[in-house]
Amino acid sequence: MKLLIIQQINGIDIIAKIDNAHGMIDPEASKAAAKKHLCKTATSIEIDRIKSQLGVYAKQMIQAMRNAKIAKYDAERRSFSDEYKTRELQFKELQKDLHPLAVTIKSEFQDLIRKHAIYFIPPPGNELIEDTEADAIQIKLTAAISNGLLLGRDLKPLCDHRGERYFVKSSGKWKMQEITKIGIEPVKGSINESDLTDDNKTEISEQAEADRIAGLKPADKLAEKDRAISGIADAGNAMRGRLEIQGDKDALKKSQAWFQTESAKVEEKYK
Amino acid sequence: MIDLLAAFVNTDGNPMPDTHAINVSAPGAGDGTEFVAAMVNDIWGRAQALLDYAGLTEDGVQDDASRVYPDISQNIEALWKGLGVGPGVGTIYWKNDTPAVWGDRVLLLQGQEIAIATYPYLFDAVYCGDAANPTAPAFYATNGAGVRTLPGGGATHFILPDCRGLSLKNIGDATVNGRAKVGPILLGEAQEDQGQEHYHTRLTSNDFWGGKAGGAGYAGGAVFFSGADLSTGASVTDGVHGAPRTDDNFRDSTLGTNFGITY
Repeated sequence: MKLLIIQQINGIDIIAKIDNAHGMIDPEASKAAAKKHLCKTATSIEIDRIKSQLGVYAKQMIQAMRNAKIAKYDAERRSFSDEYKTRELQFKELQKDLHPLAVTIKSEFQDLIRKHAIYFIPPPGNELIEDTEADAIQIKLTAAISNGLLLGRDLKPLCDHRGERYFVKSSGKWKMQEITKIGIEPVKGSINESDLTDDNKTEISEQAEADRIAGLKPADKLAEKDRAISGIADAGNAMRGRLEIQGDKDALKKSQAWFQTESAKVEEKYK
Repeated sequence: MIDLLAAFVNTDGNPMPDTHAINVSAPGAGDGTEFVAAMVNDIWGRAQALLDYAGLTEDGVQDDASRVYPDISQNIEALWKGLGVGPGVGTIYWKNDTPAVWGDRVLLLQGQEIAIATYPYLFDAVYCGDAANPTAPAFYATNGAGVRTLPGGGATHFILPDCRGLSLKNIGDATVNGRAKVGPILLGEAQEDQGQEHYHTRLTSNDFWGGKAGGAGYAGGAVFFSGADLSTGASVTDGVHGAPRTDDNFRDSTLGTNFGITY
């Protein structure tokens, strides 16, 4: 199983990523499930057989020891003693077979836990899915990402132009489209803000300024125009002073001409 | 513990840590490792020292594997308490697979809804309490379908915190350089990233002196810029700290791992 991480954007479920489900495996429930299958494995059956035989040898050793203690004759005692040694040797030899099996069964148990894993209930926004489904989704997710797209939970690609502004000129006027939601495509024929030419920018800026002025109340418009002309007069005054210091005899004439030109632009702008 | 070579006559003679007991060579031979009080006392002493270290006293019940929740083996309880391990203690888990496969009594903290009956020691250790259950960000009890439910009202599960993608921070506030730092209040409470409050300096027309077309030659206060002209530019490197690293969220430099909780 894999974990599908879902993120909700603008009310739409988006596949954020596919993760492993390691943390979602319930260890205790999975161990209990795996144990039921473990006892049926050949390794487990062999371990049980060896343990059973070891028990037989152990009992035979104990019995031989008891017999030796109560034996009346030396020959009889030696016989039981020899049997004790034989059983002890058999016990130790057979016990050696357990060690590699213990290593094997540990590995088999781990495999069984993976195979029969029982999963916790994942938190909201997380879905457990089969590996095959995850692989299929991953292919679509990778393709979507490489194309700069998102992938919806319905496995349909979605564009994401959030935070982008597009401009399109229609009937001689620029219109701006600011995209704030996923799945919204830019208007056909529009230009991304970053692709605007300097001429485009100038036109848009002038249009925005004209729109702003047109929206002003008459009194505000007049006051703003007066401030602009006053500012130009101050700038012309500074220009005149600079030219006079530089020894220009036509300082006043030049600065007045500049003032006339610039103030005419302002008059035109606010008419 | 006692010196095994000194305390026993019959051993395999190997020094610590390889000293082993030996069987008799034959029935009645008397050359097997002695079963003496010193041996028993060393084992008893170990168990008693562990309980004492953990501040426990004997409960009069024999320790064995059949003792289960809530009547756990005192030696296991002593290990938990004495060493500060066991249910409800955090762990940084680096193993590259599920703790279930490794056989570790660890759950990765990923917001799971887990069964109280399967993890009773953990529930006892971390449950937020009945009063907090309706609002706690984590460690609250549910009905197994995500609905908050009190243990006395039929709760069967509880919720672990989801640490994925988050750093851990001590709950509570701090003061550093005389300034308050507000931390999470509750166990398992997630705090979203944020920058500190700040102002930006206001641009004046002088800042645009010699700037865009139409600005050159204008004295301060003489230049008019539309709102669009006053936007700030893109962030650029200061020449020392590399290109500005920006993405969806603030973050410090980190290293990936898994946070888990022992049960």
